Amino acid sequence: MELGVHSNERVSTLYRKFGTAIYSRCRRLLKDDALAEDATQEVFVRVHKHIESAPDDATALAWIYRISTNYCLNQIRDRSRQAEPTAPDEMPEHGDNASPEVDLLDRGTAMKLIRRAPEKLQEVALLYYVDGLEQEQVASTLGISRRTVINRLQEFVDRSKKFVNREGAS
Amino acid sequence: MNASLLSRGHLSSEAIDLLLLAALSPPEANEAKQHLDGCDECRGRWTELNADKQRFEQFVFARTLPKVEARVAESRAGFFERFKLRILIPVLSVAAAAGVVASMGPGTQTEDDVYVGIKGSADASLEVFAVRGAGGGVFPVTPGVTLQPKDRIGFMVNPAVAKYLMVASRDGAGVFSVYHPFGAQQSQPVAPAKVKVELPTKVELDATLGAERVVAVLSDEPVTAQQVEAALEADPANPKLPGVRFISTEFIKVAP
Ligand SMILES: [Zn+2]
Repeated sequence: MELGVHSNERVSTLYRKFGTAIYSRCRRLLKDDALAEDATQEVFVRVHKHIESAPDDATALAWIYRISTNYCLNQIRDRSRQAEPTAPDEMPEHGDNASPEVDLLDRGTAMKLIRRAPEKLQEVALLYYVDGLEQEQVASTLGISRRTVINRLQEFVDRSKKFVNREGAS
Repeated sequence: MNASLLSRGHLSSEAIDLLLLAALSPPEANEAKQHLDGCDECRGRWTELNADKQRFEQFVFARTLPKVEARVAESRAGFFERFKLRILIPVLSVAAAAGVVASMGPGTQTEDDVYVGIKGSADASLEVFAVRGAGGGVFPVTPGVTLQPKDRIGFMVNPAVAKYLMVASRDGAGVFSVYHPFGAQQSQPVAPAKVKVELPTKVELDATLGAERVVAVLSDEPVTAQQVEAALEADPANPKLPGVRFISTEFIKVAP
């Protein structure tokens, strides 16, 4: 007979292996060492909650990213409630391709702007600019269409121009 | 890897993290290193990541691992709590349909016991329930239910007025184990509850087939595992010890 500890051990193993990557990611996103440390723990507690659906090692990191992204974005939202939501009908429609300016935004600037973006734009922008996924990959990760990805990226860039113009790219 | 190695001219987050973990294929790792040599931005990220690695491994990991493990242990208990709600439904319908109660052993149980946690009960009881497979539902282990290797079982015990509790087993090969507290040498104090409490211990069944007897050992004084083992050895179906109440149940383990 054996105690049912497999999932606990698996979490410890994943923590040992991917803890650094997730800690670093949380530090980048939250910009605070103590919050990043707490966040890292929370992420792995959530990993355990969903351990039954954890993929094998090759794709485990991407899966844990997703959990950490959701956690950190929630933390950011909790700390700054100023980001106003955008109603669907306000969403400007863009064609099948985003304007070239979508790709001109750099990673660091995007990271700063994500904090002030409405919730629905945050994750798309993070996956695209910070994690460096392609539009197709963002779409399949979030279960939305590529067209929606393009629309949201375009809106993110449009909004970011206002911020940059108003405040400088601080 | 899920993401591409290079995306819009730079390394993806996954690529840079997998490079640190030495988990890229050799050609991918070469390509990533070449990019780092020629790109200030990615080299900056790489330097930050390595600094974070040092900090994490030197300070953060050691102080947070025990906390993560403790939280995980807690959430396992919570996982079981959720089972409880789901298990009450089939138990209720069995009781209502057949006029019998999904309980076992001489720890007789009335239909009221099914409403544990709502009404409470003065009578001691033991219920075993099981989960099969990853996403499987919980089912009560009632007489006649067969279990399989790797099924996970849990216990709900109403200790009534007893002060000490142990849950032990004698499997199809006659091997004795203490399930709760797992591997303990003697029974542990329990608050007289008069309601069923869900024990945090969950046990994964091994490959030994045949009839396995599970007993809740309730007493006012601590009882050793040796005493319980001897009592089960002497009379598996009806173990006896002075001052001890045994509530027992049996299930059959078969190959899947
Ligand atoms: Zn680069």
